[in-house]
Amino acid sequence: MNVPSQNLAQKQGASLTVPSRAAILSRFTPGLAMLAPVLVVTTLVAFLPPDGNERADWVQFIGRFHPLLVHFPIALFLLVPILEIVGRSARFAYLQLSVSFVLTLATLGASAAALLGWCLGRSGGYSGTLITQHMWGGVVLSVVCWVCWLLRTGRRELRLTYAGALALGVGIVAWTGYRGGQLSQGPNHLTEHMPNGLRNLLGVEDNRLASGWSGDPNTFFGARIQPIFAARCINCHGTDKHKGNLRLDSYRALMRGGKDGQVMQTGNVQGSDLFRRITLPASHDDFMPKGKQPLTADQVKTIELWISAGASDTLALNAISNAPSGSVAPAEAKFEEVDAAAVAQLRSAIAPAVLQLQKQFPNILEYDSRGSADLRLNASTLGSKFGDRDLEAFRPIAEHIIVADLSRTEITDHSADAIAAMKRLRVLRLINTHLTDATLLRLDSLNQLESLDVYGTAMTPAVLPTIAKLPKISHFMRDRPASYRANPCPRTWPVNLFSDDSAAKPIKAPRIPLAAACGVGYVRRRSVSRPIGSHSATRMSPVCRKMASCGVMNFLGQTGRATGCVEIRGRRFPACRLPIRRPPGVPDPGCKLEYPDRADHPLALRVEVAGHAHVIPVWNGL
Amino acid sequence: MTASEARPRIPADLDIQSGSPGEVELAWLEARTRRHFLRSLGGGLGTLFLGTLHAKLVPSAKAAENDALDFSRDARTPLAPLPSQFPAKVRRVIYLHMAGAPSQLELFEHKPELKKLDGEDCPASFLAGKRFAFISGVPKLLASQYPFHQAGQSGQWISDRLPYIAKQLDDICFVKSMRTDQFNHAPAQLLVQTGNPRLGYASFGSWVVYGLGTENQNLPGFIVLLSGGKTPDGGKQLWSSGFLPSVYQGVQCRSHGEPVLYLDNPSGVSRSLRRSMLDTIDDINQQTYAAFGNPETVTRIAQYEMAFRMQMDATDAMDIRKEPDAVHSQYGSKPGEASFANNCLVARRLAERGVRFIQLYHWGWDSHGADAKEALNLGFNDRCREVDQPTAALLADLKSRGLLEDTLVVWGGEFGRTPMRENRGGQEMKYVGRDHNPGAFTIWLAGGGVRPGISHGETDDMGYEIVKDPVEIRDLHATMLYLLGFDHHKLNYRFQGLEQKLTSVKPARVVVEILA
Repeated sequence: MNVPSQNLAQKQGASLTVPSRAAILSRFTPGLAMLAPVLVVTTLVAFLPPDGNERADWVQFIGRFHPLLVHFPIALFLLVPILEIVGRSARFAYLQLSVSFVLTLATLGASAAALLGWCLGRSGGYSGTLITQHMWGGVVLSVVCWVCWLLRTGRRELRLTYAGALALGVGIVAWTGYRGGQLSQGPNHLTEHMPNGLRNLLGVEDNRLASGWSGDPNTFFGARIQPIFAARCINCHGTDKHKGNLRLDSYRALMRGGKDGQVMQTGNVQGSDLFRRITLPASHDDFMPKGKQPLTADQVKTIELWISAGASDTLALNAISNAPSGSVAPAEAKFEEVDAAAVAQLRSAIAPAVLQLQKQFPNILEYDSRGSADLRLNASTLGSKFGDRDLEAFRPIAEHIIVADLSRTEITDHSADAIAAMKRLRVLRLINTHLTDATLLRLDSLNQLESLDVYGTAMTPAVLPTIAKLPKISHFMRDRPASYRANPCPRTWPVNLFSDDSAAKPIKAPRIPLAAACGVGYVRRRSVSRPIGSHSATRMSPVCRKMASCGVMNFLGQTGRATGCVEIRGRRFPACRLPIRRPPGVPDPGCKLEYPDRADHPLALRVEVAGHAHVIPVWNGL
Repeated sequence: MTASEARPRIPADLDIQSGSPGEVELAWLEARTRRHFLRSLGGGLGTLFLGTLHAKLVPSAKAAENDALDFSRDARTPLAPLPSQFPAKVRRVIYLHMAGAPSQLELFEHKPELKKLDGEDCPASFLAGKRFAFISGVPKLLASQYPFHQAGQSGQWISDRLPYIAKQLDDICFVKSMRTDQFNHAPAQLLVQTGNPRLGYASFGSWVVYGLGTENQNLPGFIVLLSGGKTPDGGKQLWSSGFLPSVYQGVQCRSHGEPVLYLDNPSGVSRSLRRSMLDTIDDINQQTYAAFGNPETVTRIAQYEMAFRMQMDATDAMDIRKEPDAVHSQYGSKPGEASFANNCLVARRLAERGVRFIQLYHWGWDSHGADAKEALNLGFNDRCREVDQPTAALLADLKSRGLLEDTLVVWGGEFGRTPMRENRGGQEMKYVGRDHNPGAFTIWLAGGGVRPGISHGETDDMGYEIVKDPVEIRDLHATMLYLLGFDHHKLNYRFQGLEQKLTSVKPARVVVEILA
């Protein structure tokens, strides 16, 4: 302990005496030697900056040692302020003795690293703002290192200047290092995986997806091509770093190409260098993205289709019909979160009434979900213990009930009002109840009703027009009880049909016998609108065949017209897919077969007869 | 926070026994020193600061606390219905488990390429690094034993062994890329039913009843029906409640006689006598509860009451003699015997009555070809016949009654079968069979919220490995829970320091592609 402090005292003593000119010169000779590489590298960087072109392999080979070497000057330089600060304490004063030596090493290391960096940048095909900033950062750091060494060695009461230079150096180390990290690991490498909480706290935006986004999302380029580039290419070919002088962050840059000229040949997939490179085997020298996972088959296909379609940036999003689906990642299900306070607020109006009813009728009334103020009523489990009076108790909350299962209960037509009051009902089950047409006719106010189940009730076809008019009805379930057969449809119908789907001129028609079997069922299908001849047309055909069995379609055929139309729930359909006898020479109209909302599972066919509409119910499964 | 709450707890070493509240407070104040004050001041400020930061740093931490779903119920009604997390497409599940793993290549997977290679030696690449239960040496490839055809408007392929199901194809959504990591029956069945190949985990039905309760309080919420024959290899663990409270375990009902053993009153005991007996027991239990306050006592009272209610309802629900003949001919059911057909009909009756989870097990699908019963060309036909008509009838019946809208029907085994013919001991066997293949198998779903008439995922030309959209068992579970209105992370139960859940700890994905 004693020896270093004595040394320090001697050194301080020496520095107080005025040294001779020769002594100063001899002291600074190594300094001049250190300055030489700094000047060399500055000159190189200033006059021969990296320009995006690749050069001699051996220079690149040397340059690749830059990332290896660069950490030494960083660590050495950062050590200096630590040595200085800790060395202030008498116990560690000996540390100050090493400062000059460490600074020398740092200066030499920094200039060597800068030199290697220049080799890499100049010959590795780098260009862009990032590389420029990083490079100059490195050069300035070497200079600052040298200045620090000079100040430390001269040491003439320059403490403030010296401290300032050190602080500046530390700042430059951080900034240059950060830039270097951005170069090698991507512009967001520090914040990329920042936890969302910290991100919010610091106000750092999550631009993982947004980077390099400039295309119009309504075009094929903007919506499909650019996301691929953004995800896979612009890390090296983007705003901050454009390797091979190529940028893929905008359509213009893409078309301009890189150092080897254009990378895209519009309409010519095989001639496009970009396509060639992304489809090469990953081990090939020219393969892109270099050293990364190859693009997925779907991504390659998308790019291929786009180039062959002319590689335009104005091409409409849906112009290429056979493009693979666009999602880069598979779709994920969204789980709704429940916000307890919001739910309580939502339920506040009905909560007391619901609570009271839940006490009175345990286990039959529940909220639709934990986040909802809608209610489900399932009285079916109470069976015969649940009657009209009980249902009446639910009147105050009727408008909040969206699903009501009253199957097998003792309710009668007296409950019609109570049911009709549930104006937001989506599903109503009345299986095996005593309800009759009287109640069902009252349901015309349930304009949200999607599903109605009257299996095992005494419903007759008289209610069909009412039910068919419900705007959202899509499922209608019933069986065929004996009571229903007792009320068959009329044996004959006077039918007129439209001769085609545009003219409103009805065909004059005789009375046509209708098959006696009539009923209602449901066929569940997605709504579709596709050209005739596709799958949907065949779905429609059973409907028409049913009509044919009623005589309707035969009648159309006999008129000798190629087209005709039937009306189903207010919308007209051409009947041209039917096996009707079309006279030779009359072309297929080729019109579109459109399904009206939910008429792809029609409850009934509506046939218009001289201003009067008739509803023909259709059997289960048609 | 009020002042009284803010006050630190009185240090334990102070004698607070003797003395009035005023004295205690004085003693407490005297014990406070400047150090206490500074420490709580500094620490308190720091805590305050960290507290404000915490919400920002871990945004989900606070939300997670609030969002943890509450599944607690009154101990007297442990099966009371609870709302789902978000609006559900499905209110009940009928799971038709084909124990033994039916061959997808004889039922749903049409592989014309395999037909061309029938009888040829299996390529070495198929065998490298694989383990088989019985195949050894170089087996021969085996084409489907039965012709395939397209059916329905959706034009999906199906073999001629399932003529009735073929008529319902437009309501069926196939998942042809199911994958499991278990290749023995018991662990694979456990994995399918409990999400874990080891014993002691809660079964799917238990989770569902735990999360949603059941609609009908007079019936168990989770009912299990076996077709007779062999009990599944996984045994009763397949419907065990594992670490969940035991009220949520599956109740295995018998197919004939009393549905639940000892449910009927013994001869000479009338229902009213039973009632008065229960009332007396209840009184005693009430006294016990008043004395000890153990909630299990209340559960016991509830169980007695439920058993009493079940005496009426369970017997009625299981009694398929009440169904008209037309329905019996539709299902092919015969009252009084143990059969899959009868169970399908019972399943429909239970679904109507608001039972949450109905689990059917069929047996004998383990078509190794070791004997006639489990040969693809013999016993397999019987299995197809046994399940085809009733399964189709169940779908059609649910549909016509409107129940298919919010019922999920699942049909499948625990793994698939190899495209190679089994050669036990390296010898060609007398009967035709296939070995276990955990790498690819087919299940199908139908009903609420599922896209009908589609097929998800693909296997290679041999039907051996998945080439597109693999679906793990846990993905299937997550999807089914999603249809039931739950995020599979949120339906959890704390046990052994872990938030246990059906999908276990590996990440599971909801297969959105099969959702309607």
